[in-house]
Amino acid sequence: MTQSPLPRAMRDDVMQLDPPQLLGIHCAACGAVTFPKREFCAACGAREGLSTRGLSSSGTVHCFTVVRQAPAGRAVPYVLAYVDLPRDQVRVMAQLDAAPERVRIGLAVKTDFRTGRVDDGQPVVGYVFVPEEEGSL
Amino acid sequence: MPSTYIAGAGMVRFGKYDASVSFERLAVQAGHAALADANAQRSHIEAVFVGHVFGGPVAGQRVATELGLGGLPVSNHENYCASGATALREAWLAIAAGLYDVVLVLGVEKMTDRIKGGVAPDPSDLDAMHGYVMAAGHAMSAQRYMADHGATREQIAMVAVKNHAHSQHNPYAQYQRAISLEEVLSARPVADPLGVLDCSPISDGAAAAVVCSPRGLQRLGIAGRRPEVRAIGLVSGTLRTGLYPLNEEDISRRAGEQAYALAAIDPADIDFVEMHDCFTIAEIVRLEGLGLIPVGEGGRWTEEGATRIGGRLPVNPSGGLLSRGHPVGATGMAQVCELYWQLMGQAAGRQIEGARLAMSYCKGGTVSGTDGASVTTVVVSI
Repeated sequence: MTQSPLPRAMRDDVMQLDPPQLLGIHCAACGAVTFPKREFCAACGAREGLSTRGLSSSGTVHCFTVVRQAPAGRAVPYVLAYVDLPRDQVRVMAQLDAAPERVRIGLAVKTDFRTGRVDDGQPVVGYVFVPEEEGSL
Repeated sequence: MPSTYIAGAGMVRFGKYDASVSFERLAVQAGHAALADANAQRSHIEAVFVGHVFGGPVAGQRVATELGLGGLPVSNHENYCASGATALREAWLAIAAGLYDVVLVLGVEKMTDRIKGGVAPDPSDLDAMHGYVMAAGHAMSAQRYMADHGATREQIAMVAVKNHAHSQHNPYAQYQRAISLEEVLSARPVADPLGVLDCSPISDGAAAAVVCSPRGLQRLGIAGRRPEVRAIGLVSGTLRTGLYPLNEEDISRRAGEQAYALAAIDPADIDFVEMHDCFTIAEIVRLEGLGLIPVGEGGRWTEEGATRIGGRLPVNPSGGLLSRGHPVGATGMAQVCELYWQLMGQAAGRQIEGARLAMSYCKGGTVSGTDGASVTTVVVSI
């Protein structure tokens, strides 16, 4: 029996698996965080003094939409949202796995990493946002 | 910079054509219409500039061959929805550089047989991987605009009501009927809060213009006045960082400032605008980005009729993309056809009386992390 391949991240400039988190770069010159990772700071253009930073898993919904018509191959409806990560001052666009009627501007959400597809037997892990569990500690 | 004029314009009615009407056939019809309007023979044309997105490799050369213009310099221009206007910009630059005196510019697209469910960014784009479609981006813009400015869903929907009212008088529009506010609000939902009547349709079409130097006008035997190209701006998006205002429209601000400076005009003197209303909300936020409407007031301006024909700043007398249709690579040139007809006083039932200075705006594509891909601005006066 062959061992099934280990999961991999959808894109290495966007996220990592161990531990699972979104990745950006922090600029020592201006303090900005660029997401996804680039070879320069998107805020000031610096190419030196950049370090990889795991992004905060907590954010709030800046705005969202329920997509009800999409190109072939995507089941509808799904929720897309711009989520603000206050600690990193970064805005991330991704799907929000939540009942549409529960979503509102300002909703507290967190990242969730899950297998989006399987390539030649290898799970490819991506990310979505989910609501912070209400009432949990 | 030497003067450049639009000597003639022509287009086919936008709409859904069956498979027997090819990309090339649409382009040839529009090209012949523009040549006839400019009193131009094939022998007058020195170069051909073609904007398209989905036409495939060397589509422009296929069109030129069918127009009997083989052998000339032919170039293909792709800036997504701004492709047609980008082709015009390259033609303008070539004439200004003194290379040519008479050229043909075409914007062409055949979409209905190849695009289903709406256009999206390139599949390699990070946003596209998450299921981002153009409608979703504009839906989020609309939701945020309402939250930030107290605008109403009805005010946004009024953009479609207004533009469809204009389209009744445009024989080239895909849709030529008035619609009610209730129809827009109750239309099939696409991306909340936007419904299908907030979205421009997927369309086929072609639009063209003959562009000339002063010597070119003489060569064509044109003695009367023709609209002068004052400037064609082009900007691309920049990476946005931090928690910036979603509707800041920095790309539109930069596009406007570039166009006003190049054309040496005061934007307050613009008589009307052909605006890239690919979605209702886009007309509002882009006019605000251009500085033509104060930020946050575009909804109210629309509701009060300020952007209607007869209003203080008429926008989209043609019916806009919402009514005329949006064959993406052709749209920029269709806007230019409308500027030409309006400034020539040939716009009949949708004529803006006394129009002397006009601008069109096209926005094409998105790139993840930026505020857009390309914006063109065409400023024309007579």
